[in-house]
Amino acid sequence: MAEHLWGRGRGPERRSRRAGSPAALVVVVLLALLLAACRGGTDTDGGGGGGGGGGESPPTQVETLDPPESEVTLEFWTPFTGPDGPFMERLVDEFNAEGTTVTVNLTTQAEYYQKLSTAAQAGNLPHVGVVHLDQIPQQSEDGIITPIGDLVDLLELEGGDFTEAVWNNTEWKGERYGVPLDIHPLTFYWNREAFEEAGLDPDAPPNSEEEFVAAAQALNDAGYTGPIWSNHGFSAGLLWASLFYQGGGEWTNDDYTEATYNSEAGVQAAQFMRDLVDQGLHPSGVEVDAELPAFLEGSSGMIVAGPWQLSRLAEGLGDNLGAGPVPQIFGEGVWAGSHNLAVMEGVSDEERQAAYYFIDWITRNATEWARAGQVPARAEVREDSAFAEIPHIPTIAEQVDAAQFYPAFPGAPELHFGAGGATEAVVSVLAEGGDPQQLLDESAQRFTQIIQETKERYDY
Amino acid sequence: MTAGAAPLAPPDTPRRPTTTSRRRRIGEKWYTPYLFILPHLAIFLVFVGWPFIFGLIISFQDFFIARDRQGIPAPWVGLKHYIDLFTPGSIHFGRFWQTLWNTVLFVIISVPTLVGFSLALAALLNGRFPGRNLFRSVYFAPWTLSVAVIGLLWWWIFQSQGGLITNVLTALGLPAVGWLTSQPWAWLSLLIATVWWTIGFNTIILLAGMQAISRDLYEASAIDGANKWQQFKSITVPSLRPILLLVITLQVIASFNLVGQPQIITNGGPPTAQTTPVLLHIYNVGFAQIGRFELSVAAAMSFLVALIMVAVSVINFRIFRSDES
Repeated sequence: MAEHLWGRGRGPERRSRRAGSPAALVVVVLLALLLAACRGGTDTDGGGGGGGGGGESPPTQVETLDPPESEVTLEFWTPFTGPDGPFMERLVDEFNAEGTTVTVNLTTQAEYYQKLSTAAQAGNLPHVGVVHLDQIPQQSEDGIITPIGDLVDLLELEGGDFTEAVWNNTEWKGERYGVPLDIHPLTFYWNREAFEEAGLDPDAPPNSEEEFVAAAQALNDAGYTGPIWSNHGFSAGLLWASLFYQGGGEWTNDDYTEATYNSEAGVQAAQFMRDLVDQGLHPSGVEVDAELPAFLEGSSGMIVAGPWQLSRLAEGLGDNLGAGPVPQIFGEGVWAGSHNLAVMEGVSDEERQAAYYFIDWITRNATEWARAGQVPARAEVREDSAFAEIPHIPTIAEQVDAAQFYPAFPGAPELHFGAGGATEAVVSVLAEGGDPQQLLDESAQRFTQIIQETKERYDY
Repeated sequence: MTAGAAPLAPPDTPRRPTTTSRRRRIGEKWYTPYLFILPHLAIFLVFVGWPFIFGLIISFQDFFIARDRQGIPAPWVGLKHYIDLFTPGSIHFGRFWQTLWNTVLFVIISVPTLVGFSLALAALLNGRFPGRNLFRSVYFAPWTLSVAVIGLLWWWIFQSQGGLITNVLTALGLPAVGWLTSQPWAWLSLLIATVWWTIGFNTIILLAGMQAISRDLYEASAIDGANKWQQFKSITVPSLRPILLLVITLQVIASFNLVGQPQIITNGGPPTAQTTPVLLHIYNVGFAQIGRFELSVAAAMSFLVALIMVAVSVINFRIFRSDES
């Protein structure tokens, strides 16, 4: 039994000394294999051409806008998770029903650009994708979208077909990357019944500083004390940006090395919104998106929101809904974005042919997309009689010429939406007071550093 | 015991495995234990080991994943990111320390609350009364939900445009408060949601510990005239010391890992980043800045946070070990 005791003390030790080395070796080999595998993985992947710029291989020129000869299935990704999503689904179904050699699979993605980024790493990019106008420089630099100059030539598109602002920004470092599908300017919505009750004219929404404040006062007095915006980039942030543009504001200087949104125009815009809060005409802390249920259930008489909310609000308020351009409080100007269609990296020649055919079809049938609340980007579609019959959109579209976009360099929207950006400063002013000039100064200083880094990194 | 003299020196001939004194099952080889841990080891290496090493490497570079994919080499910058995190005025300095402080603040307010409440709850549930098991299940049930579910749930309760609490307060004629959009209510909301969600776990552990305490101690003290509170203070709590240490340590670590509740309920809180914990900030820097996924900076920040958590755990253990008699 003592042997047992001794053995217990000795056996495992001796065994581990004997068995230890092979086991450790196994672990080390595994680790080495993993290291090698992962290191090797990062060097591969299509779009080879090294250094600088977009790094894509130049695509073969596509000659015609016809569908390809053999069957092609295209993966098409969009970020349309809002009420506008089903409209795009219908458009794609219509396209597929035409029975050409091209079939399109639509996937709606939340966290769209993160998904594109991970898909690119995995080699799983779609063939065609929606890309926002202001993301074109960044997505091009990241090797996700490819030049489509030949498509633009085939479509015989030129500046006059779109607004100039949109057309100029589809280009990055000398190449065209997107065909504009729509422009989506910030939209002003009002409750016609609420206006009547407050003694306002439901057919003449406010269009100046005095009228706007008077309307807010009247609505509050009539019991409509809900918010106009929520403390969020897509609501308060967009209204601030519109007022900022109206005051003549510019995001940066001409060569993109200094953030200038802490100018007089920026402070004025923030102060105007804060004044409404101080006068008791607007709640100070409004959660993200809370202005929409408030408007739908009738506690808000007017709100600002994206045009993509149109179908949801129209469904909720019916004929009671008024929709139109954002009031011109400091002048002309409204925040806008624009969806473009792009062809992604890693697409074969035949798939590119199919993609071009699809993009051509979609942009020609954009009137249907207009029903989703998106103003078609092409002038000829806006001038079409079918377009004029869609409720509300033609009114919203009146502000298209005043629409302004972010400057065209990688990461420009971060000036607005990014951490420490303009929206954070503005929401801070709204929610807690604080000096707009100081907060915007801090924010602009931070982003001046960031955009200088960006300019150096991407060399433009 | 054996009749012969027990040898003090180990036998010097190696024995065949099946005859040494360590008990073995038939057919067991020397490598069997390693085969058992191999699956977990493989997963561990892939999902924890490799990212750890990769993160360490890229924290010394300016690594951008899109550029790496296109074959553009990432420049080596040495300790630049770490130094920047200690340099006032650099892009990432302010936000990092602010969110780190947010995390520490949450640890300070949540650990005593969660440990204290769960101790009280366990004491209450320790008695014998009808429905005891029902109550135990009810208090533990929220812990089975995921953070996304409780986040949405409590967002709806707290939000100010039609949320449950706002409606109740308004109906009672009391002023409504911006539960999610102003301080200190935002932290309070997060604390309430977290307590509701996780208290069951601590309670069950402490309850198990309490039930291991011998009834004799309580009877003896009752004979000596102790009341319930004295019994609790002098018998229950000291007996639970090792378990309390475990619960406190787990709670400190869990609170340091706060991410989901602020992300879903307050979205990082009233600006600017007032309820953003450091781990959420790291995620935002590395994965939420479209086109500027600063993985290198995020990696550097996460290593600093890891060092801090190691230090906190060490201090935690030292404090409680020195208390043990």
